[in-house]
Amino acid sequence: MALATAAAHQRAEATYRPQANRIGLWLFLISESFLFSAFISSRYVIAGTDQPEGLNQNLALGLTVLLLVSSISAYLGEAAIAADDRKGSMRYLSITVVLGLVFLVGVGFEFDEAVTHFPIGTVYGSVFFTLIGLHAFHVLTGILALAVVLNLTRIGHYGPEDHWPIEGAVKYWHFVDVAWVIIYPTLYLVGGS
Amino acid sequence: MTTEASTDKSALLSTYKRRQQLGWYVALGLLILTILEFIVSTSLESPLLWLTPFIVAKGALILEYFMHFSDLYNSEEH
Repeated sequence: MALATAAAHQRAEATYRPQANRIGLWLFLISESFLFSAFISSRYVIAGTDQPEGLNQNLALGLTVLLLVSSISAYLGEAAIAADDRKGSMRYLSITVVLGLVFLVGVGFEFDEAVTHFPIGTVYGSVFFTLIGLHAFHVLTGILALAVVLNLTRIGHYGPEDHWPIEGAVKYWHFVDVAWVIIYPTLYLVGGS
Repeated sequence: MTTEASTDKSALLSTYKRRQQLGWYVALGLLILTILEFIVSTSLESPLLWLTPFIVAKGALILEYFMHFSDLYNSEEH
């Protein structure tokens, strides 16, 4: 009996070790940042700071603000579950998912417009579509992760002491936001007026 | 017991309110930096160097306040 209890305790400890999980997630995010760094630096190596005509600056600024707003809603979703506010957490996580989807639709419009100005085969086009596509893929996976934890929250999982999956998904979402903070000026602003 | 539980609840609520307030301040800071960054880029011919502080500041704000980077080395739990 005592052995079974000890084994169960050990299993529970192994599956819920927030600090170890956090370190694991940070290592994963650091490895992801190398990938983004490689693609971001390729923009400067291949195209310098040249910027073609036809970039939709207003749409890009709008998408940036949208992603920043989604970051605050994700943050509030995590803060809400930590305060045992399940409904609040679900509300904020849902808002984040919706904003993420709107962001992807915006990227779709941007792709459609950009391809007419600098096709994929051009120097800037190859950098632009690869970088935006890589980021959009991460947004999509972030949305999926948030949707999974949102559903688990809905059916009663997680509480103030046990919400690592929400924290992990939200941290990943913030990472996607940090990546955009660098990608946005790299693709849209460094060319100047 | 009931008093203890209600104290816990009110402590959670107070932390929640503080975190909410901090979150909105950070979001406002990010928004202001983004607008300034846009203005700088549209008013200079070669703004790369001038944009760098904005990128660093925005990234640092998100890393520290939204991703709680310093918790990694401040937390007592291992």
